[in-house]
Amino acid sequence: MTSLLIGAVLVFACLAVFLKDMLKAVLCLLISSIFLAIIFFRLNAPFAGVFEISVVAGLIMVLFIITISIVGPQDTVSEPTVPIAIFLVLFMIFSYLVNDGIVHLLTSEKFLANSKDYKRFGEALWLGRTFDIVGQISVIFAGVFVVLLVAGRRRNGK
Amino acid sequence: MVNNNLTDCWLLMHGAAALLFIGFYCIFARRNMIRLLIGLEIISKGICLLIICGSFPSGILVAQALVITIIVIEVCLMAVGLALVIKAYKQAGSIDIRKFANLKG
Amino acid sequence: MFLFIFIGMPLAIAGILPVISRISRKFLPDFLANLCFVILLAASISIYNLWPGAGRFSHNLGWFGTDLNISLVLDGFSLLMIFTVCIVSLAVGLFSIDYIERYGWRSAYYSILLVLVASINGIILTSDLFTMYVFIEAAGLVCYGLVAFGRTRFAIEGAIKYLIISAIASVFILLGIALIFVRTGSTDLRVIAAYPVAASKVNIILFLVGFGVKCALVPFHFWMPDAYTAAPAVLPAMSSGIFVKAAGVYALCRIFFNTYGVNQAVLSVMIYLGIVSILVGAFLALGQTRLRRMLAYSSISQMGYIVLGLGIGTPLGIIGALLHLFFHSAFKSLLFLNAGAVEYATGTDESKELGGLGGRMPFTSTTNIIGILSAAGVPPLNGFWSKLIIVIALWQAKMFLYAFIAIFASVLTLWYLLLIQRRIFFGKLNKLLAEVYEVPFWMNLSMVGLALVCVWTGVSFASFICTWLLPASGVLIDGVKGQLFIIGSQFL
Repeated sequence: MTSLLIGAVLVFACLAVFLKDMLKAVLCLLISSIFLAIIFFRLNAPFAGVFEISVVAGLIMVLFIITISIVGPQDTVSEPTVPIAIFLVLFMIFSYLVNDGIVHLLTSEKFLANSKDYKRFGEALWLGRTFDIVGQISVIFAGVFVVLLVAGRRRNGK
Repeated sequence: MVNNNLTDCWLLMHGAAALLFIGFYCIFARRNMIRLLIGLEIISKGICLLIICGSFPSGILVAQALVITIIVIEVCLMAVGLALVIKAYKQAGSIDIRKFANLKG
Repeated sequence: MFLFIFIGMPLAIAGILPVISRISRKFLPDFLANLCFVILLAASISIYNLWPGAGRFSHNLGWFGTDLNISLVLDGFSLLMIFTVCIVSLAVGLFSIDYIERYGWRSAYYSILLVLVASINGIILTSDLFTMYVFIEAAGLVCYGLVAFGRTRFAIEGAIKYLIISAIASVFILLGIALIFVRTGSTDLRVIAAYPVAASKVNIILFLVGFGVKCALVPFHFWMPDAYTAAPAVLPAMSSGIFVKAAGVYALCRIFFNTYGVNQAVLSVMIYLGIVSILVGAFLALGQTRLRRMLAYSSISQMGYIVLGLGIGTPLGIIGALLHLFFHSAFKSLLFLNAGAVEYATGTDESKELGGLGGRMPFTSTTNIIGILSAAGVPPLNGFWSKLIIVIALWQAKMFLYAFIAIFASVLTLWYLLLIQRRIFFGKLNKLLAEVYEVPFWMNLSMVGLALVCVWTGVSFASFICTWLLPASGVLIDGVKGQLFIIGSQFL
């Protein structure tokens, strides 16, 4: 079951890279996000799964679709014509090289440096990573004001 | 995730590494600017999968907190990137990255 | 609570500025933002008086009795960085009172400037690697927006190039953090220091590449010239003055000196990267005619000096590198603000079209001379002492060839900076520029202030080293062992 799910994520991600029509590529990325969220649910990470569906497969894809509808289907941008075989060959070489590292990661001793044992996710987020929340506020402010500045209409000046 | 814990984790880690490879290939081998942002998104997915399946089952709560923060950062980055792409399209008429490499490094 | 104002106050004011700008479009945003910067500068100087003197202390916040688990860490190195941030941000804040008039949308600009300062303070004051990454991303987003501020085609190109290169670097850093978290279960720097498995080769390469892009080391410097030429002059001053140092050099030092422990291979790599940056930056700056582009390449070269000094590893080298970090913020921000003033007055910074401005713009040209002499390392201004200490450290470590290269690059710096200064400020006044007059009061004030900082730190460099630098370098020399005092939670 896991191999089917992760295979689906990878196949749709590859489709998102190689499809010429941007809208279909973004939809493949959306389906890939949904399969990834199912994997998160199976790994006992329901909050990450919910966020993945609602934010990545929801918000980010809506942003992409708005951009594509403004920009157009853009199939005139010529991509370099590298055959897919080269991609697959590089992929095999990469997987082989990375295999040692993954096996080492999985079989080495797992340290549990995080000695605090949180019972609920709310505690882990609000008590364990409180400073990250201040960071998130900065990121959101930065994003909002920058998008306003780049794309908004100026009231004075140029 | 009841049985075959190690095999499943091995598969998922390979999946995360594969997502990273696909994302980097997308960034370095594609010319459409929106596709560069799709590549960044795929890389982030790979890293999120790495964090969650690497800390299963013991540190899963803190891992979820990290993943949620990463997703929030990705949203803001995509918003800024797409706003710049729209502005670039309005000015240059194309979203080919080669047209925007005029400035010499 | 006291440390949190460095992050909390700019964020709070950035949040209420859009509301306030409905009431007063011009005066209140200026006043509030600059008041915030003045308060932060006063706070950073007064922390120095309250401070126990050595060691690190960590400060857990509390909210009416319950522990909030925000722990801010301050030690000598953080204090030096905070002081740098406060000085440069005050100068940029004062400068932009008049400069932003040409661009419009004053309150949104001050909001993102305050978010930038808050994020950089967040990078400096946190002890957690992942929180550092979050604040680096926040500050990076602001910088992308500031590059695209003018909304010309040139600006959008520079911004997109900067965004792609910097986002790839952030991904490398995040991958390193993810690997550390999977292996050790925590991302706190103080906790990771106990596990040698966190310092694997893959992690070291990922962090060197990721943070190397952020601090524009060669061969990762490609974003800097285009981003700095296309942006309004305040961006290079903020970015090359503090952001490149906080997100690049500071993070590298925290990880490689205080967490991983000193590793001779990493130090050699830093020396090579430093030397290559110095040479490539200096040679590429020679042929430039646009003032800002030349200053960008000069920044790459000076960052090479800092990384070279850190890579030597001896206490004298570290003192020289940190001294150069602070002095470079002062004089490079001054030079970039000068370029902004020239552009404000004449509309261009292409040196072929300019000439003879010295008579019409006395303040700008005088501060420019001070800035250039500092950058080139002429005594008694500040650049001389920091480069001298780095060269002496190289000599003591028996790296004679690198010492000669450092001196040679310093001479090159003097040459190209004086060349372009002569072209712009001296010589015959171009007929088209006969109407040019000096820039408004606040821009003059900020430039004169930075020039005074250059002169004062140059003349009294010994006392400056003893008060600010020795604790900072002590932190890096101590490395992994450093005592930690915990101040308990307080009422907010």
